[in-house]
Amino acid sequence: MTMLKTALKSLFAHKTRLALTAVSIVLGVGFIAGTYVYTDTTNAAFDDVFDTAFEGVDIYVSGNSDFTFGQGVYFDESVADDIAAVDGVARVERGLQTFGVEVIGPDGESMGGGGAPQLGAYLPPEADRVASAFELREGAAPGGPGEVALDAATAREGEYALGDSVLVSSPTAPAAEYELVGIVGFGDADNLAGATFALFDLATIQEIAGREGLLSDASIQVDEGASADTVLADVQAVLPEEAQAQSAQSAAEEQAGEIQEGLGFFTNFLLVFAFVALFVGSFIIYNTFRIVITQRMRELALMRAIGSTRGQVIRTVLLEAVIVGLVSSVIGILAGLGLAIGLRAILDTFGIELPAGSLVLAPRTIIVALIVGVVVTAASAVFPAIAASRIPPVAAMRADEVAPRRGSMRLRAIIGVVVLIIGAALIWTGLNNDSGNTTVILTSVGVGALVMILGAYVLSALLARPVAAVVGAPFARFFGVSGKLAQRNAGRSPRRTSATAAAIMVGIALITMASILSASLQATVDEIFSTGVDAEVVVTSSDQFSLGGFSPDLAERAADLPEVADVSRVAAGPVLEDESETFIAGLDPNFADFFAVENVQGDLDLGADGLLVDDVTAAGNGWELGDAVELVFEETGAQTFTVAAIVETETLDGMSISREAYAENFPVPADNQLYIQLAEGVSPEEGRDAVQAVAADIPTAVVQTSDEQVDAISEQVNQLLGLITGLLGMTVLVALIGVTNTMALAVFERTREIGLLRAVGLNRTQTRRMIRFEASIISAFGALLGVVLGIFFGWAIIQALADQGFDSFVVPWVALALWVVGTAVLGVLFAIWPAIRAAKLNVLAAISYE
Amino acid sequence: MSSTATQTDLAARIVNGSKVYGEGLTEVTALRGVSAEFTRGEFTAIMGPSGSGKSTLLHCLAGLDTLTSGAVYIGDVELGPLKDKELTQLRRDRIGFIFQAYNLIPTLSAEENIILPLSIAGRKPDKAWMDEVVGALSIGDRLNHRPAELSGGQQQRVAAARALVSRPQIVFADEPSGNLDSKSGSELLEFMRRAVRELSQTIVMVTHDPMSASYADRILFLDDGSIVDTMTEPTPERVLDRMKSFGS
Repeated sequence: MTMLKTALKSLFAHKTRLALTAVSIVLGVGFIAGTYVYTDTTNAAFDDVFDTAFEGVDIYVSGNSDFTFGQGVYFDESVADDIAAVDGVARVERGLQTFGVEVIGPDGESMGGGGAPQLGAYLPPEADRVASAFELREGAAPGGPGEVALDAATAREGEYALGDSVLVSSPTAPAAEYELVGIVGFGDADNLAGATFALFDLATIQEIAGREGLLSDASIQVDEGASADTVLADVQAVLPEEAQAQSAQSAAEEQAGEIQEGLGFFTNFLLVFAFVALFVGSFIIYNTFRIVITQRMRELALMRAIGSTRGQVIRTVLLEAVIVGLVSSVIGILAGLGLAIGLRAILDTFGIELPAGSLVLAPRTIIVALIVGVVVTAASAVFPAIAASRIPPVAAMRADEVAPRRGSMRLRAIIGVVVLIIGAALIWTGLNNDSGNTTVILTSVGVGALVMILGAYVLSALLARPVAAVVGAPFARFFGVSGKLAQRNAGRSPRRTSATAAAIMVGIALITMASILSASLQATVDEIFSTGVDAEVVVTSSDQFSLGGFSPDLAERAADLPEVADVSRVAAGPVLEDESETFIAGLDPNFADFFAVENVQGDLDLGADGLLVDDVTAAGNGWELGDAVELVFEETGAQTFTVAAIVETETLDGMSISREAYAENFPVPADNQLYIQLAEGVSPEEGRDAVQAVAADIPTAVVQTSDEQVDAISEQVNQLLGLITGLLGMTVLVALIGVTNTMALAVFERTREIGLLRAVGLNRTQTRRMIRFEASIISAFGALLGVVLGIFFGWAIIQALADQGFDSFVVPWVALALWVVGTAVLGVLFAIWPAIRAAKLNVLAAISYE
Repeated sequence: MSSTATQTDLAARIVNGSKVYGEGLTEVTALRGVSAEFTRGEFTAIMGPSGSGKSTLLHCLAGLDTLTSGAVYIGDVELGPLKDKELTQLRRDRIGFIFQAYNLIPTLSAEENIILPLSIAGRKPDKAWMDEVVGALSIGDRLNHRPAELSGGQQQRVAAARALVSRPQIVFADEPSGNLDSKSGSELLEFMRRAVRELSQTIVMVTHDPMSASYADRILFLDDGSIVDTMTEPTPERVLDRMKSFGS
C-alpha cells in the first residue's frame, strides 16, 4: 500500500508533465476504442435494419452467383408461380433489383454515388408485400410505366415532392422522365448506407434493367403452422439451377455480413493509425520517464540507501507507469466514444447515412483499450525503470549530480545497425513474398518497418550532436549567443534529443513514404497515358460500384461525329479463372491502334475464342501460345478460350477477348470505356465538347481529354494522400507535445545555468529564443531522420511493385523540404511555453537553486 | 566612507537601503537602512555571521534583487526605476560576477565563457586586454577546454577572467574561493587584489573567511541587517578577533 501511495504522490507532483505525456496514449487508445465502438454500433444497426427488412419473410429466394462483382443472376418470372404452388406457401413477393440506375438531379449530375451503389428495384403495392425493407412514407407504390418512387434521402436532396418529374437513367437505356408517386424510408434512416433507390413497377424496372420477364429474388411467407424447414426444402425443389432458397434469417445475416465486411476494411485502416499513434506515444513515455528518473535521482538513491531493493525501485516506477496508462486509457475510452459520434457525423456529411442506434460499448472494447494503454505505457517505462534501479545509494549523499550509469555509445552503434538491418530484411522479404498471402506480407512489412524505426532511433543518438551542429549553424550565425547556445544544447544530451526526435521521425517517415508513393503513382499514371495509350478523348463510367458501364449508343454517336477519327470500345466484366474472380476485357478489333503493345507473340486478331494475355500474367500462370484456358462467366457458365497472343503492355493487364466473344458472354450490352482519336486539326478540348454534346442524355458517361483523366486520377490520389497525411499529421503534433515536454524539463534542469546567463546579461528575449531555437533544431532533426527513413520505405515498396507496372520512383523533394521546415517552425511554436518559463525565472532564485 | 570622494569616483553606492521579505507574522528584515559607498579602485569585503544580510546586500547592489526602500546606484545610474531589460543590459555592460560555484556555461569553452557578456552584447573583446587578463590568471593554455575539463581552481579563474574582460564598472564576488582548496583560493584572491591594484578594478566581495577577507582593502561588518563596523587594512588575526565578538 505504501508503494501505491508513494507512486501516487510522486505522480501528482509532476501532474502537468505527465498530463502532456499521457496525451499520446489517450490519442492512440481513443482511436482504438472509437473504431471499435463505431464498428460495433454500425454492425448492430445493420443487423437491425436487415432483421427489420426481412420481418414477415420466412424464406428468401435469390440468384445463385459465385461473383462478387457480377451483375447478379436472374431467373424467370414463372418460377414465382411455381413457388406459390408449393404446399405451405402463403404468399410470394416478386423482386427485381439492379445496379447502375441513376437518378439525375436538378443540376444534371447523378445523385448519390461516391462509392455507394445506385440501385433500381421493384416496389410491390402494399397488398402484395411480404417483406418490409421499403417503408412507404408518402404516396403510393408506382403502378404503371411512367411512375417512380425514391428513397427519402434522395428525394430530400433533390427537393422532389410528389408529382414532380424525376430523370432516371440506366446502363441500357437513355435517361427518361418519371413522375414521383412515392417516397420510402428504411426504418428511421432516410437511405440505406448512402445507396440511392429508384423504385418502379415490375414491368418498368425489368425493361430498364434489360431483364424483361426476369426476377432477381422472391420473398416467401409460409402458412401459419407450416414447418418453415419443410417448405424450404419443397421450394428448393421447384427452383431452377440458377436460384437458391434460404431462410430469411440466414439471408439477413448474409446481407448484413456483406456490408459489415466492407466496413471491416475501413476499421483496419483506422486501427493501423491508432497503432502508429501508440507507437509514437511509447517514445514520448520512454523519454519522459527517463528524464523524470534523472530528476528524482537523489530521492531514488535515498530509497535505495534506506533499504529498498532494486526490484522494489523497478516496481515503483512501473507502478507509476501503470497508473498513468490506466488513467490515460480511461480518458481514451471516453475520447473514443466522442470519436465514434464524430465519425458518424462526418460520414453523414458525405451523404452516407448509417442507421442510428445507441452507441455500443462492448466489454471487448473496454478490455482491449485498457490493456493496450497500460501495456504500452508500462513497456515504454521498463528501460527507465531498470536505469532507476541502477542508481547507487551513495548518490543520495553527493552534493553534485550523478548521472545514471549509461551504456556505451559503441554498443549502441552496433545494436542500432544490427536492428536496422534486421528490420530492412523483414521488409524486403515481406515485399518480395510471392505467396499472395496478404496477412503474411503485411505482417512482415509492418513488423519490419517497426524494427527499422527502432533501429533508426537507436542509431540516431550517435547522429544527434553532428546533425544538431549542422542544423543549428544558421541559428548560431544569425542569432548570436542565443543561436549558439541553442546549437550546443541541442546536441548536449544525444540520448534525450534522439528520443524526442524519434517520436517525430515516426510520423514524418510514414508521411514521406505516402508522399513518395503518391508522387510515383501519379508519375506512373502519367507515363502510361502518354506512352501506353493513344487517344485524345476518353470516356469512362461514373458508376464505379458495379462496373455497370454506359449505353453502347454513345460509341455509335461519337463515331459519327466529324471531329472523331476513330473510336475503340472497351467493355469489362468479372470472370472466374481457376476459381478466383478476376476481370476480363472485351476489345474492339482496332485496339492495337490505341494501346501500345510490344513483343507480340501470336496473332492480335483474336477471333471468337482467342485470349490476349499480358506477359507477366502469362508467366505467372505458366501459359503459352495455344494453351486452353477455361473461364467461367456469370451468365453463360464455363467457356474455353485459346491463348492467341501474349504481349508486353502497360495498359492491357490481365486477360482480354474480342468484342464479339465478350458480347456472347455478357448479354446486357454496355461499354465501360471509349478511347477516341480525333480528326486532324481538332483540339482535345473541341473533341471532348463534341462528344460531351452527344452524351448529354447518358449521365453515367464521363467525357474527358486524356490530360483531364490523368488529372482526375491525380486528384483522387491526392485526396487519399491528404487523408493519410492528416491522420499521420496528428501523430506528429502529438510528438511535438513531446518536444514541449522535453524543453520544459530542460529549462527546469538548467535553472542555474539560465540564472547565470541572465545575471551576466542575457535578456528575456534572448533567453526565449535560445529555448525556441533548440526545440526547432531537435524537431528538424526528427523530421530529417523521418525523411531519410521514409525515402527508404517508399523505395522498397516501389521496388517490390516494379513488376506490376509501377516503375517510377519520384521523390517530391520540395514537399519533403517543406515538411522539414514546417516541423522546425512547429517546434518553435511548441516551445513557446517553456521559453516563457525560462525567461520568467527569477534570476536570483535561479542562481541560488540547489 | 570617504567624505572627500566625489560622486563620479563612486563605482557604486547604496543609500538607506532596506529589504524586507514576507508579510505579517512571517516578515523578515534582511537589511535595515544600510548606507555605503564603494570607491573606484577599491577592494571591499563584506562579512558577517549567517543571517546578517551580507548576501542580500550584495545581490541588491548587483541588481539581482530589489530593495524594499532606499536606492542603489551603479555609477550615476539608479537601479530602482530600471525595467528588467535595462537592468539586464546594465549587468551585461557594467557589472562583473564571480559566484561561489556554477559560474560557467558547460557547453561553452573557457574562452567562450570569458567573452560571454561581450558576445551577448554583440561586441568583440579588446585583444590586448584579454591577453593580459588571461596571462595574469595563467589560464592561457586552457582556453579551448570545456568547464568539465578544468579543475575547480581553474574554473574560478576563468570566471574571474570573464568578470574582468568586459571592463566592468564594478565586480561583485560571492564567496569566490569558498569551494576551493587553500592554495587555489589564495591564488584567486591574490589575482583579485592585483586586479584592483594594477588594473584599477573595483571589487566587492562577500565572504565568511577571515583569510579571504584579509586580501581586501576594507571590510564592512554586517550584523542583523545593519553595518556595525568597518576595518581598513585588515589582517587575518584582527578579522578573526572582530568576528569573535559577533554572535550570542
